[in-house]
Amino acid sequence: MIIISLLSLAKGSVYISNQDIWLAIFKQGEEINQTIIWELRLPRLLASLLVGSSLGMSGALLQGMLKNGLASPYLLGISAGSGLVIVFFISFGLLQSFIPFAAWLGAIFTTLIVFILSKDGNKIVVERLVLGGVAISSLFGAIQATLLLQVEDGRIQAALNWLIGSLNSRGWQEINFAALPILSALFIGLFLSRQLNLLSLGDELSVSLGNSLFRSRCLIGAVATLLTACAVSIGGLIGFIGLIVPHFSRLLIGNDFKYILPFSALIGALTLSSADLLSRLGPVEIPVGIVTALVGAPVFMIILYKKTGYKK
Amino acid sequence: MAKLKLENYYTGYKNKIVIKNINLVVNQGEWLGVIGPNGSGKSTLIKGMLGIIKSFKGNIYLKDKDIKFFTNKRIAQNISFLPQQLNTNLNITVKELVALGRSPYKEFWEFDLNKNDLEKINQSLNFVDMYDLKDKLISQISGGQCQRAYLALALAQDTDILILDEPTNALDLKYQIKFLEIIRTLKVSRNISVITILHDLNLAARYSDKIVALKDGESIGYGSTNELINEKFIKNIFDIDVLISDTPYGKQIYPTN
Repeated sequence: MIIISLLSLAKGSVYISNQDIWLAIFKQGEEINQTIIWELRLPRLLASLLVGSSLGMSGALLQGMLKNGLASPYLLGISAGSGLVIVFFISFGLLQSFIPFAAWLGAIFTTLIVFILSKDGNKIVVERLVLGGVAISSLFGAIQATLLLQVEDGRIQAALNWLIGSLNSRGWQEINFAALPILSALFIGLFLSRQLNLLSLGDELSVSLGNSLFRSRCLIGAVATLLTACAVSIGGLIGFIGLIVPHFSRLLIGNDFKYILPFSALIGALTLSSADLLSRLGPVEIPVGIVTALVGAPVFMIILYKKTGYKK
Repeated sequence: MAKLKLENYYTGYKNKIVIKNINLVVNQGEWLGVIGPNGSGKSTLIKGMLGIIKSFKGNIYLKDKDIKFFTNKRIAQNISFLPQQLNTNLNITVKELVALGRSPYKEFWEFDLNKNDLEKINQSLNFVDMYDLKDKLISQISGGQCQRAYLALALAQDTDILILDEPTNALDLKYQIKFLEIIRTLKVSRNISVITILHDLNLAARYSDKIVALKDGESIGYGSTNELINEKFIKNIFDIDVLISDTPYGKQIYPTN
């Protein structure tokens, strides 16, 4: 992780040596280096670490809660909700700097709808949660596509950048907004491991061991949503991290959520920062979402093929 | 002392009453067998006792206190449960599984097992003869061993009421007896109350002190096993003619047609 961090600070269109990095961090040495490190690379590195760990843990939480290895942080309609808001803002050329916050709101709001739809008395029905997420996603997706078809060419690309997910030119503003909620949600998330372990034993046994299904599902859902919404507000809809990282950590350290959760956050951070590094090594920078999907999809297929991932 | 008492108890699912007007008492150190044909509401009754589904009418008293005022956690400190369907495909070790039995005593932020927890866990593992397998993964052990691992989980909960739903279903004849003997030893040595659903009437008659027979969600017989089990009673519940003989292992039932 430290190596990736250092590399990530060093590489880019201008190479900065290790020594110069340290100088720049302590606000010494060449001014141009200081600016590059402090205004461009450091915030970007932090963004990738925050977003990666959020998506990793959020995926692990949701896969555990829904007992479904195909669950990703975007399953509960988050992608559709924030995607729609993003496209809406961009296509009408509204306040661009407001997009992160709006995307965040869109994500939270949509998940809230999905959760309310899945409520039956004082129970959360898991099937309804998943299907509700799918239904909302296709509804919002349709509206989003309609909007996209109407806008001018230049704006489509701006929108695509968000929809695919990119960390390009993410600055302190986005980080300041999302860092505190992300860190606190990561912290709370670590305490949910026992509830996830209990849920994996089956609903009835988990209740007979003193767990409240409604409360733990709401809590897990809330933490996962907060994490994802914050991640989206920084980086847009970066795919595959939240889906694959939990599988990968399960592969490495087994099924105990006490280890899966922190590991997923860690591997998520590591994966996204390396993917971001890769994305800007080429002659033209590509959105990091493309890199994660390009590398992630084959890895996912291998995991599925080996069937070593999540088993019910 | 009455550990668990049901009074005019009704429950079911979403506007559908399944269990009607059940009255029964389970005393300390007593084994209650729940019998009845498929779909008679046996599992529903047990879910009600565990607080998984809510009461529609009537009351359940846990140690003379209305169960309505118990949180899930408090119930879990008093009643443990071995469900019929076990998740046998977990990649956690036997010991990690059994350790989850200590959850009812842990706060949200507490993760460390204290000395008392470890003692209870090891005791439970020893009791079901699984101590040597404690580091094996659940997904790697046999069905019978898995059953015992989950029993150890229930024992680690350290309760004085144990509810078992069809515990012998997945076991061969030898392990059926072995498993129920473990439960009997447990009942006697720790003086706990046991409630089982058993499909096999001979096993039910052999092990239960008391029996409640359900049909269409209603109790059609409740009392001591010896007094209750006779040809007419079985015919009434299962609609089948049987012969019953007394054996050294209690009454045994032979269907005749």
